[in-house]
Amino acid sequence: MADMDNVIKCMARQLRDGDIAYTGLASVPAVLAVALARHWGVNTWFINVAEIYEPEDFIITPSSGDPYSLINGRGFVISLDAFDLARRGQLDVMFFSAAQVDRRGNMNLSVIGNYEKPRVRLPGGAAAAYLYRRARRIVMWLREHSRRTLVERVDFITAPGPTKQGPHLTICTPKAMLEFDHVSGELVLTGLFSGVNIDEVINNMAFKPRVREPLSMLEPVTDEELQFLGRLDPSGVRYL
Amino acid sequence: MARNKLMSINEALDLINDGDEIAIGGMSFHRNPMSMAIAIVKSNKRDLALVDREPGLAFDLLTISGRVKRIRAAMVTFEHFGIAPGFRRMVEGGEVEFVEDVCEGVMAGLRAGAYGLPFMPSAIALDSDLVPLNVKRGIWKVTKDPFNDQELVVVKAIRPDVALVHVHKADERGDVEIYGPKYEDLLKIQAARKAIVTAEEIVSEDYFRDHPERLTIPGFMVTAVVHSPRGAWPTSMYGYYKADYEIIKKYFDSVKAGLSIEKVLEVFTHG
Repeated sequence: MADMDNVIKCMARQLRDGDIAYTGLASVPAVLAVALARHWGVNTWFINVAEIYEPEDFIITPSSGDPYSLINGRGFVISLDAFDLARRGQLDVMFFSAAQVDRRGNMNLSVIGNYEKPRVRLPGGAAAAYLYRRARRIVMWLREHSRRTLVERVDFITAPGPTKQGPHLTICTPKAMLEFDHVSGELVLTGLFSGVNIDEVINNMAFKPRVREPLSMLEPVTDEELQFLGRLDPSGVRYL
Repeated sequence: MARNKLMSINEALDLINDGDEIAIGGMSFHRNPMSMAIAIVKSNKRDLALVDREPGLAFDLLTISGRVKRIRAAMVTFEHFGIAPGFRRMVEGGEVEFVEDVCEGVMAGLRAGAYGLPFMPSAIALDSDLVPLNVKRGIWKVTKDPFNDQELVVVKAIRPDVALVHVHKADERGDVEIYGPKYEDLLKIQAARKAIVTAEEIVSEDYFRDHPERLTIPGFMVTAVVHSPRGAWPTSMYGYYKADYEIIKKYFDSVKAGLSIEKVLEVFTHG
């Protein structure tokens, strides 16, 4: 069992009955989180960058924008309409990942290093500089829980973190769960995967987060859930 | 009787001028105008600019062709293969100027262009570091909502010289059917001064009379129609064929390995 399966389960746990959720490009873990939540019986609406409305089944390919990957939809909902929905305050959940997130919840998908002469030119933030503030809840995943990804200050603010008014931000990593605290204006540690030590979580971050007691214990995927994810994604795109 | 707009790919190429800004249809690895993109790579066009929201293969190929000097997009990704390889190389090397936008910005700009308006208000977060950059570039401006005095980012209209869109069916008049996902392709065609469509199938004039609900774009919006079966390959064409990820991976590896554009084009010779 790989870390990403647990991350996907943590993401799926954030979905609730009645949510309208949207997934973007390069977001196979997010598509699988929606699929897993539905598998548990969570009754969400699902729209996506592939523009396939309410697919019945999933066959994961290297592209979460692949219309052939989302099977038996009930029609097509274009991204323009999905983003208008968010602007009106009606999109419940948007998923993001990032190269860096900082103490304030700012995220970076633009560059590592100097903007004009970057060490790495990242792909760009897509909808982040807008949806990261406009969806009601943000679910973020990080493939790596490290000082490289959880930084004191991002190299570039592609999208600014939440304000005191919102949105709600939850970050799932292979070790833990962090949430944006609207009072302190910072990320706080709110959950740990069982078997992970709190020092191991904090020592692998470049800033020391406050801890919200009692910490919730995050459940790893069960064999049955793993089998489900494996059926949808037999070639393991989620681990790439 | 409308003019017959059916032409060869080389005739369509003549509609593109050096220095033109081109809006690329499709998204990621889906419904990209590949046949037209390859034709441009092989042409002698110069100083082109590209614009799209979330482009993929066609955009990346054009970016390494040496024919493009500026690109504008919200995200240039090869998704689970990695960062778009040509984009990364050309932008890190300073060979192509990258105007980093946001989905909201590209959509607002295309909407303004399509609606015939000078600019469009947006919900782009004022605290993004992209705001001062794009204000300086002259494509965004921070202004006040005239009704409540709150600050917001407005986006200047995007009016591409040309839109390149691959479609399912078209007739000689330029009437077009796109089946399934549309992305911003309608806005691109409306905002652009010229629209070149490549079509999987050329249908008779009776087709849209028999199926009027299938009309996506009326012919008067379209400048040229090129018959181009499998013209999106190796990207997908919903309803017709899936993306060929083996070929896309080969492209990714070839570009990453730093192969010449001639060698990279060989990836596409077995369609």
